[in-house]
Amino acid sequence: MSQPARALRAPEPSARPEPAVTPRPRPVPARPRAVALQRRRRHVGFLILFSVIVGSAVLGLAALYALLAQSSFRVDDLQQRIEALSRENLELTRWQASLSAPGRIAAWARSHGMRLPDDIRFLHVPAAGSAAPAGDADHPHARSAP
Amino acid sequence: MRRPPIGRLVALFAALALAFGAITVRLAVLQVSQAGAYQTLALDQRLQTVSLPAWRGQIVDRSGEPLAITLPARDVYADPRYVIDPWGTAVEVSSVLGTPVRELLPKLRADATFVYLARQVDLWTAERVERLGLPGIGFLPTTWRSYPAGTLGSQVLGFVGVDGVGLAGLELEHQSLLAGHPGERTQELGRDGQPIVGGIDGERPPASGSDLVTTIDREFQFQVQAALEEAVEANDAAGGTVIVMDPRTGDVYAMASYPWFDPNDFVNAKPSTMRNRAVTDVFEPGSVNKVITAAAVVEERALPLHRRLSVAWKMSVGEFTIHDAHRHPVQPMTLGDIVAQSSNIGAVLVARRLGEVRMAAYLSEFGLGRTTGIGFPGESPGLMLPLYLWSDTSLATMAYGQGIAVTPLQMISVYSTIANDGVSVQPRLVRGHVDEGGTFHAAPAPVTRRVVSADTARMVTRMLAYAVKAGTGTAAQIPGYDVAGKTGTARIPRATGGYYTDQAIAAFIGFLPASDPTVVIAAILDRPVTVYGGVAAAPLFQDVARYAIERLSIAPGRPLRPPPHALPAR
Repeated sequence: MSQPARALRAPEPSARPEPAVTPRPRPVPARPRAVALQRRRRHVGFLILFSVIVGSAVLGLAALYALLAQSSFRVDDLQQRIEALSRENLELTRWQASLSAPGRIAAWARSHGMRLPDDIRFLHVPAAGSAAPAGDADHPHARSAP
Repeated sequence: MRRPPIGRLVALFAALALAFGAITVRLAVLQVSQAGAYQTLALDQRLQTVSLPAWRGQIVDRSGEPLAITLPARDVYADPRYVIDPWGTAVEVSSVLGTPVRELLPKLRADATFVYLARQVDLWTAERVERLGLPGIGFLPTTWRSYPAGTLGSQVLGFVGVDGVGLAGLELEHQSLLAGHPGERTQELGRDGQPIVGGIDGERPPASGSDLVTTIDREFQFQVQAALEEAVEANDAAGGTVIVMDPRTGDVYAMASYPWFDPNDFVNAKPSTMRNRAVTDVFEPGSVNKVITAAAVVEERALPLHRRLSVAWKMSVGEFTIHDAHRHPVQPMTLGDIVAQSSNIGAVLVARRLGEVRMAAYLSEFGLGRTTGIGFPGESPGLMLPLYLWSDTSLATMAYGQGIAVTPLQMISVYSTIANDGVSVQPRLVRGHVDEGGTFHAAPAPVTRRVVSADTARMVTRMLAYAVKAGTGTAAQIPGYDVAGKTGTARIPRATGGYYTDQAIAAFIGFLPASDPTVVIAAILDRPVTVYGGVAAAPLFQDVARYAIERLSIAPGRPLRPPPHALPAR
């Protein structure tokens, strides 16, 4: 046989303990849409700036190398021109030397009927103060030999 | 739910980790510890260093006219492995190069990877071959030495081999000066052989050779060669030599030996024509050597100049009999007459008054028996017996120029000494050189040495002038000028002993104007049919001297008094 239930005493209103105050969690403000948007915009902006800087750098390097390549081709081209002109200069020098070679000129002269005279005499114009003709040992102005 | 196979996963993970770890370690070894070595290997593969040949300097005459010049050229080669049609290729290449097909065909069919078809081909001809577009034909850059004036001065200039090295003459003597220093170029090349842009590209430029400035006068050299060739043909001689020099400076204006050769085609030239006989070959000088005897007698006062000796046509010396060139009665002769008439007997008589010791000394003082130091490869010192080997006939024979062997250069140096008031000036062929920057560097001043006094030199000059005016050298006279010189008709020794009776070396060596010599000329003909120096060589001297007067604007000078003489002038 069960015992009769103890009658539950209803809590006295005045003696009811104060319920423990549980700190209310701080309300998490709902993230506004505008702030999220702003942050997203800043990320994108940074990415764009970064891309522009890096892209510019890459383009600049590529342009520099292209310029170097172009310059090296130009230098190469100029060197080839210098070598070609040097070769031409040498060839012209040789040509001039062969054209002015005494043998060639003498042969040309002979082929055109020119010849050296059989007898060649020399006339010397005496210097001022000297009246002795060439080789005249009996001339009164001729000095005696040593 | 089944449990995942943890063990197997761990095992797989461990295996993968091990593999990747090994790769990582290997990577670290390659990229870190062995990085340097592999970098070096890779760089070595890409780097190519080629030698940049130095440009050979020119040889120019005293006025700067080019006598030898280097030009760019190409060697044409073939790789027979890639020659598709040897016969067709040979025909086409032959039509451009001019080389016979029968010479090209075996090369194009050869079991080889590289054969030369032609060396040192000029650029235009090489371009024509290149335009044919023949497979297996390639080209290499090279140089080609050109001598624009052809045979002019060929024995003096020498020539250069296919590899650009001097092989004879001044090209050989001044090889290091002319050759310069090769450079090198180092480049990083890609797989296709093209330079890598931005890669290593360094160059040490070659230093071109210096230009050699000779003492040779191009125009004078030509005239000398023309006159020499004409004289050889007119006298039906075997050859000849002419030298022209300035007695005051030692400059050699012209030097030629006939026959000569073309250095542009030295491969096909006879070796005997390549020798510069003026410097390398010796001959017994004969009577031109009497100038030394006379100078020694005057210097030593061994015979008063007015003293007359009784000179017969012949005399005995030891077991031999010597005689003058022409029979004559016993004649009174002074030293001046002996020189003018070129008396062998007279020369022996005066030489005996000198004695062997003094005669040997003066022969040596005048430079016989040693090289002149002109700076030419193969210069001969001549042949002169040392005094202790002289026989009882040596004094006599050397007095008139037999029993001794000299080069033409040595003999002209003797006369140059007399012409220069007794002072010997070392002959030279080079005035200096012009370096890559265009600066001229003069050659060291030639060595000078007094041999006899100025008074002796002038007295001997009077004797030599008298020899031309009234002696054996009248064929060398030039109207309006006093020419001083001596004829020589030297017998040629046989290899078996003795001398040829019908062959001689004819010579005339002299200078003008006698009172103030500007130029000395040696004219020598080898075995002319006319035999005598006064007949064969003196006219050659005259031809060259006429041109010298014109070329060098030589004034006549003062007339000289004849030396003491007893014989009437001819």
